[in-house]
Amino acid sequence: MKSRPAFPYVLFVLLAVIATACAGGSGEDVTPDEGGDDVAEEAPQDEAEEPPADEGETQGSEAGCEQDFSGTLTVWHYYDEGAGGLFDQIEDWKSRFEEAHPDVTVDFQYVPYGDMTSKVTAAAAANEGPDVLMPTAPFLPEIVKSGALQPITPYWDSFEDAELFLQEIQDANVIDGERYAAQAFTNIEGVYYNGAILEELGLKVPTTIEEFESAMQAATEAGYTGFTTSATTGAGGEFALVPWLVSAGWSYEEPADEAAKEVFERFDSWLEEGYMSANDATGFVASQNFTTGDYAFAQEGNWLLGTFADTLEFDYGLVEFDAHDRAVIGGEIMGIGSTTADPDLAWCFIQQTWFTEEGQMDAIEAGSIPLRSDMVDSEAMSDSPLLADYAEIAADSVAIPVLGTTGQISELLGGVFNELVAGQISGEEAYQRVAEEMPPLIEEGQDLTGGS
Amino acid sequence: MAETQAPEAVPVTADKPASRSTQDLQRLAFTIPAVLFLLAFFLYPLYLMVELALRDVSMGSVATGPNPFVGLRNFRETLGSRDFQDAVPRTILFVVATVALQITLGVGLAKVLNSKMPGAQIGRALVFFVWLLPPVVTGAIWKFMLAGTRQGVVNSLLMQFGITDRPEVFLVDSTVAMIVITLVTTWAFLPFATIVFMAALQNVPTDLYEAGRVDGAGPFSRFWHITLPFIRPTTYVLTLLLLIYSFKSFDFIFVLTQGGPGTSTSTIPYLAYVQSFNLFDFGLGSATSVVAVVAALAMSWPYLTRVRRSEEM
Repeated sequence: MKSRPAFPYVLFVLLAVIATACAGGSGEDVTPDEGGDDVAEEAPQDEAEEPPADEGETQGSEAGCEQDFSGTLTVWHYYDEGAGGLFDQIEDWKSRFEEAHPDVTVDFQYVPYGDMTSKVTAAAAANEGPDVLMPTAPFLPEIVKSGALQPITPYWDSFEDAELFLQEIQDANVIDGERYAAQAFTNIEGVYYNGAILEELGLKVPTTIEEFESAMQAATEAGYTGFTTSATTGAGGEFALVPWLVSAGWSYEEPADEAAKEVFERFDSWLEEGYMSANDATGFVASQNFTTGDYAFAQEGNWLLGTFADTLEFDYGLVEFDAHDRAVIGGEIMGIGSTTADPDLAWCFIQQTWFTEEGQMDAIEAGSIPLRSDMVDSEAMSDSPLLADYAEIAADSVAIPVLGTTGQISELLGGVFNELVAGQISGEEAYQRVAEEMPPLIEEGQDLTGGS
Repeated sequence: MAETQAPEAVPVTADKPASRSTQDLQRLAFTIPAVLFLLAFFLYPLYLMVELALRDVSMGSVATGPNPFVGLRNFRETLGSRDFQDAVPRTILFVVATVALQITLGVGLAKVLNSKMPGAQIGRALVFFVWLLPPVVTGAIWKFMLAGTRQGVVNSLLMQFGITDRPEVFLVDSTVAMIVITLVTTWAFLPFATIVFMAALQNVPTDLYEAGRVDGAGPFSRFWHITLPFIRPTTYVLTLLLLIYSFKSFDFIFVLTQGGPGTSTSTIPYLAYVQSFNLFDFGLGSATSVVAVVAALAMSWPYLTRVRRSEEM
């Protein structure tokens, strides 16, 4: 039987698909291109993100929890079991809210941290999604653009305790005049010390970068590893790198600042001296390394305080020095899903679960830093001196700017840090990359509604 | 002989053959589920991918629009980017090395496990076990074994035997990391190659080996002149499948290095993932994916031609 080659047919189908797409055949959202490959002018994007008019009108007046709510409330979270954080509080939150609202069932659904943003967007594209969302703060602009969140401005404006929460952090959730989320607690990174190693070597807890480097040298000479961090590619690496940069005077607004050069060269020298290992570039290894007891210092987050308290068998604490006295405000923000049938219920849940004193106590218990001002000086905080130290760093920390190029900036900073720690580029090269590649991204990112 | 004849009582009208047009309709009806499946799960996603590749689609705008048509801009951007240009030779080298290792080791292992040597059964069971492991688990196991700390299994052994004083870091040098990814990918797909070759080897008549021995042919000669011709068709199919599997391999890179240091272990499919889900540029990621699909089709082309030729013969 005579047969014909298949490849031309496959190619034909592909070309046909391309031709159809070129003809702009995907419906009303298409902006026809009249000039070949050039970018067409973007149509205004004004209708997609508005909440339903009838809901918007009632939100402010029904912002409390006085109504008789009923139904199932779905909440997406990214707390991993066994990885620290607030995972253990989930059952308490659920039972507490269900007790207060007997006709409501709270359904917490786990979405892995790395998948949260893409899953939220995919759900929005399908006009589905949870009632309450807990994404990570820096990706708010992209999530808002996807239409997955509805504004909470009326709720927040009528929230009696709103003024107790640090406005600078809360205002990072405002885009184009609308507030899309609120943040009840935060997470930042600090530098832990291993007290047993310092004691063995007869060293004090360092208070300057010079003392810190001397201690790392002594630890390395004694057969320990001086320092460990998690220099992953992407947002993880950015979260580890930026505290050192901003503590040295660098800022997102001035990415070419020479202060960054000193920081990159410092890491370069630490690697050369053997104070830290290139293995730190292979993943989120710092906490695992620190628990072995073989590392004098580790850069890690406050969310591990609970885990460290349970697992570490040596004395440990937080180094307080100028080189790392500021950090990046991280942690989850809470918002109302755009497809929720009952936004009042969603807000009631957010408010009662995380923004009350009880909710803030949960955060403290799990090692998170509460953002409610009357909790910062609370007894619970003074009972946790390490958390209080973290809170001090948090008070002077920076939020990642609300930009439309968050992903690209994270890839750049995380990628550069990853390559530096892996020994693939020098401190000088790392600085040059950031100084040259970041300003255009910052500029491009100013346009929150366009670009990618 | 009479009892072998068909009974006369069977009514002739019951088996009246359907008309040609009815038969065609019946055949068509049987193909509908397969056609619908292909349309829904192959052609439509392919269409979406190509369409996204021709538009400016950020993560935010994918649902709400507008996603302006940008023609071939995404293709120009990805083909012109340093990351893509670096990823092309890396991907080719990775795919060629992985497939070559899988084929050669697969044949060898299949020969060993097909023999009656002691332990062959256990070997076969182990091969199946490795094949059953999910890729992410395989990657995580290897990452733990190769950890550049004293706790890493390999480093622990190296230090125990005094081969090194300090832990070796395997995954931070671009070349070494790529070699590790190649070896782990080979390890993960080797069972598949072995199982297929074991089945193919069953079809080689044993008397040919006997005849070869009688004629004084050595092991290499017997393999070259007897085994290889019999398993050649299987090898063609397997090579194609392994080429495609290796080309689109993502899991091991994600778990072992996340494409790092920097982007130095990113292959073309991994780059498409980074562009779509880390940079949130779905248009760019789709353009890279389209290039990857075309490359996969190009790789398949020699095989498809060969199959057609063999059908014609």
